[in-house]
Amino acid sequence: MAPKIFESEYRFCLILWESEPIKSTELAKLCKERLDWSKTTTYTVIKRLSERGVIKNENTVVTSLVSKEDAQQSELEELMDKKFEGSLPAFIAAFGKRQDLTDAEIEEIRRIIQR
Amino acid sequence: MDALFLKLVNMGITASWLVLAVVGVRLIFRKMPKWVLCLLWGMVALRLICPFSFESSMSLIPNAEPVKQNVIYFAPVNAQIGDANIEKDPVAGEETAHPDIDPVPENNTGAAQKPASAQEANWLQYLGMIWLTGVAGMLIYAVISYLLLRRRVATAIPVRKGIKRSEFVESPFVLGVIRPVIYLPLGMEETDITYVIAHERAHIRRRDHWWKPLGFILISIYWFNPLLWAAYILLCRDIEAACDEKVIKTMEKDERRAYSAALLNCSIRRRSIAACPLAFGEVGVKERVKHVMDYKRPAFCVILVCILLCGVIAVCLLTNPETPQADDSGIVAEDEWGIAVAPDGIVKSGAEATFIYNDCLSDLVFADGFSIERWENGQWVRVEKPSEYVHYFAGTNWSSSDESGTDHVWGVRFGGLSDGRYRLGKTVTRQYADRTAEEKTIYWAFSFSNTPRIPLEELPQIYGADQAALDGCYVQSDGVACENIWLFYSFAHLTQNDVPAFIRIINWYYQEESHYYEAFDLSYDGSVYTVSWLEDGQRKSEQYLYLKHFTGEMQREDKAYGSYEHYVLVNDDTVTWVDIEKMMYSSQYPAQTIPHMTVFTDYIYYTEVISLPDNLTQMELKFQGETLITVTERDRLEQIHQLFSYTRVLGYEPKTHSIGMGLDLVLTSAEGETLTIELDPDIDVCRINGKYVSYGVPDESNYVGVVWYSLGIDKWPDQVYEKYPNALRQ
Repeated sequence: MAPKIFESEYRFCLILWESEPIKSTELAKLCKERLDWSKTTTYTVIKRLSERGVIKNENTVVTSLVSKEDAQQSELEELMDKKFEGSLPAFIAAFGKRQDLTDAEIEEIRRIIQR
Repeated sequence: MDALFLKLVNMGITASWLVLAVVGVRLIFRKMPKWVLCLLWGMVALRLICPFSFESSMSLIPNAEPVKQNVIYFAPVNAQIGDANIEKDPVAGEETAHPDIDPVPENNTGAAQKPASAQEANWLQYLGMIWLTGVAGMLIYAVISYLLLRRRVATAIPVRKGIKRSEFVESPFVLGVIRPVIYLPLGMEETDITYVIAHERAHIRRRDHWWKPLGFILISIYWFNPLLWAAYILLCRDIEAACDEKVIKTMEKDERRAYSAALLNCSIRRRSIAACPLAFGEVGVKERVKHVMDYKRPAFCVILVCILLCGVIAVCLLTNPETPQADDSGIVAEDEWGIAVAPDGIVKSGAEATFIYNDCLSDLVFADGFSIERWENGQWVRVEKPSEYVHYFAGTNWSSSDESGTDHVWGVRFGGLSDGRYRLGKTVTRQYADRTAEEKTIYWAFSFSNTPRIPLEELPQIYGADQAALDGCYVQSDGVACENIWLFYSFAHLTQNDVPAFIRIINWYYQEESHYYEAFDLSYDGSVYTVSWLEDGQRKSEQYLYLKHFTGEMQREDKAYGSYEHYVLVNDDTVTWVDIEKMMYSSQYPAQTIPHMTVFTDYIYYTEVISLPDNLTQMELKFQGETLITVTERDRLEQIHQLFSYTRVLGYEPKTHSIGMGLDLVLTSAEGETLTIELDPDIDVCRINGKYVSYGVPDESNYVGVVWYSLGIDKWPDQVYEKYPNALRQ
């Protein structure tokens, strides 16, 4: 099975597949342009992906190990445990927190909306 | 540091009143637009940030400083056990009538109050440390959460300007203070996205990405105040609701349904996970949906009412009450010098107040004098003594030291102050080993009250002159001024300048078999004097318009006291002392009673004494040069000696006398000295070396008779009566 690639990493890989082989510094520049990623973020992703065997970084040249066709986007649900523990810090302005609404509660709210 | 903590406690308490008000408003005015509520929460934040505020008479805050700083004692520095610096003031005599501060040793420590022990004093420091730890903890949590979150979304992909999407985002939020970015989760419906972005944009426009972190910082600082936590939770809810309102206010019902649906969608977890704790500040979805669906644009007048309400709340709760109690009275307990200040208290008129600072470092030098300031119109104003003859205060000071350090106790008696709030300032200097010195002023605050310590009705049977003096009474002994004369002068000076004042007068009578006293309360309210006393348990009082001051020399020829001083209450400004005396002692004015009350009497005796030569060998009575009687008996010469031991030199010539007609007493001493005493055949005044002298203790006895007795006669020789027929006879 091909190693899992997360959504953000997928975008990164798209850029890589387009421009490989490419020097890491130039790759970082591209990521800044297209993804608005900082250099440190890009290098962290490069490191993570190379550890997982998705890409290779040799002598500052980055190439992919997994082809576009072989890559899978992983299920988002499995990221739950990696997400920020279900709750945002108090001082962040938010739209609505994820809550454990029971089915009954959900039904009730739908009724309020529909009336 | 501890002072800061205390200040924050106080600020938190005053803000809590405002919080309660906002909570009340929230409950009562449910239709109020939420942005108004956020404004009110902003006022709470203002109260928490700003240490100062305007003072207003309409303030409803009960007390701007509920926890007083000077109630807290600070742990004294471990003082060196002072051996060298025990300042014992010189033992002086009685307290003189002079206005300057005379050091007088006082044995009374009754009024002394020792501050709390070092152990009790430390609790404030412990609390301060706990508080600081709490603040640090909360701020560290905030910083770490923020950094972790930032890291999580570092790989987010931009969707639109200012909007990014990431697989690590669960529900949409705004992150960033300077350049806020909206973060969206993956897999959101297009319709939902529009509303979410609108809501988050509303957050950004309202600057919520500033207010919420600010609120959190305030919570971190005031973490010990539960009301403020409640306020923050409610603030978060109101912020969300306000954003909802902002978005939907132009929407029709259908659109609102779509918005609510988006809200619901974002709130459902696709997978139900066991017990995730409610996030802090979490907004209830049901409440929000209900609010969105039921929302109606408020009418203009409703908004107007809300603005007015805000204004009222601002005036009542954003301002501080006017303080007659001075806040920044400069009462600081300086612990680096080891001075612990006794708390302020209430000082009664004339009573002694003691101010203690203990466990001081032994190298502190306290200045002799002190200053008195009065709290007037929001600032301290210096109180000056009006003249050198009127006393506002007399001071005593002494110090002692024990194992724990050096104690300095200052006792001061105050009189002549009007009711109010004062502070006594004393300059302290600290000498350092390198010859430098540092100086600062320590203040004690006290409230002065012109009321007696004991009401008339509760005075004890035996109210000794000493105790009465300590209690600030003016005491007379057998009709003559005895104690706290300076206090009466202060009273007189104040009242004669139309300043209200009070004094209690205690008259002791010792002449009778059973000693007793009378007590009078004399007060002046600015226009009228009222004197009250108890008669058979009932309070009686009289009123007078003027307090007249009479001084003069004693004119009565049979008594030469020197000078007299009286203060008399009268209703007629033109009354003279002569009138009153005549009325008292003469039968010429039976019908005319001048209503009056003599409240102060003092006599100044002249103390110059003429001493006779010691070894008298002979005494001759001469009349116009002719020796009529010669006395050489030892015991008779003794009599004359004794008689003249009471002599006082008068400062004046008695109005009527017959001195100089030639009636002389010539005394000869063993050494051959002679002294001629020119006698008056009528009165016990004579002239020695040109000075008029009164011989004899002033009472009713006829001292001319003693002269006769020493001479061995019972009347003057006939020659005297020939020339002076009105001379005194037996």
